[in-house]
Amino acid sequence: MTSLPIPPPDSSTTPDNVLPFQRVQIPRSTSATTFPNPPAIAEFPVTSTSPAPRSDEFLVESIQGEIQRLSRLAQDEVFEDGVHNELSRAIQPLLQQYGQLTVDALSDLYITRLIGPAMISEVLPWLGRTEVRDSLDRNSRFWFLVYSLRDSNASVRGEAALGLASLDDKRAIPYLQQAAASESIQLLRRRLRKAADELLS
Amino acid sequence: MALLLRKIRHKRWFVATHDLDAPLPADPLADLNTNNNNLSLWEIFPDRSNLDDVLVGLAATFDHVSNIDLAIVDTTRLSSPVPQTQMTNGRTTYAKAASYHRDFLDLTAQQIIEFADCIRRHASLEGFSEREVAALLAQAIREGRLDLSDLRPDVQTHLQKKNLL
Repeated sequence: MTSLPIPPPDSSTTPDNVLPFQRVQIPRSTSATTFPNPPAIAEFPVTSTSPAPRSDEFLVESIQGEIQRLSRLAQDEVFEDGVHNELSRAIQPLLQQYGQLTVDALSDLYITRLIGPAMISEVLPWLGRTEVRDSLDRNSRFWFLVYSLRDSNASVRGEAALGLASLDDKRAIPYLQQAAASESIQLLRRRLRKAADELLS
Repeated sequence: MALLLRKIRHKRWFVATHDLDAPLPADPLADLNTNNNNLSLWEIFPDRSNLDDVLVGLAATFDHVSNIDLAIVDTTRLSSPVPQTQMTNGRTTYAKAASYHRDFLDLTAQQIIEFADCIRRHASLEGFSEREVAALLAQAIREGRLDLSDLRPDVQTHLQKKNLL
């Protein structure tokens, strides 16, 4: 796997070979009153209307390799809220520099379970916390977080709620409300409701 | 009635609190790591009037602004013998909160497991969002109780970017 140079945390430069190319077809909300059904998980993000350019594929693979490497490094860490770790230090600059491509890399790893729920759940809040590059980046983060609300692992669902609250995107409200309504774990249901309420306020 | 607060991560307790008849899962124990067999806690007044100060004290140590998950336990719920408790200064730059810090002393592994079981059965599990934590920090700074320069750079940047100061 090719190693990927990690940009510094406050880097605002855009590499020439990274363009905001719409690799996946982003589902759109239909109206304010209709609850938009997210597309089936299999449609995201691997189904695309046009093939990704080879340079993007190469970058996504490189980012995946980097995330997998970081996951291995972080697997023995005891994560704590508010405290940086190997994964959080690296995921921010990857998101800042490569935007949607980083989300593509993460979602591929998520779907294929090449990284486990423990690591995915640590990354999800950073999708909301890290400044977005553009609307494509925002959309891909948003949909990835929305899909994660349906994960079979409770930690993933809970951290997706945190990510959506931090992303501060009101489109998440119906998804959070729906997730709360179907959530059987009371502690998690409260978190989902709180995230929805915070976006409503 | 005295209340003790432990900062935890609710994600480690989702399963543990869901089925109280099931054996205690292992993940919650990661929230009860001891140092020299002592466990760090914070005393909360029965009327909870110092809760915000403790939250600011915790958040003031953060590398970045984050949500805070808590377990608040009524000490009458602790299994006996109750662990010995000592006042110790908390590891925070927020002086007002430091005096509320406590340690459970000389804990055994069994006591940790009993405390975990007490948390899942009896604690008030409360979560404060990233937005709420940022607002508390900003309020403490505006009121002169906390100095911006006492916070880590990422926290300072977050508060400034959100125009909270």
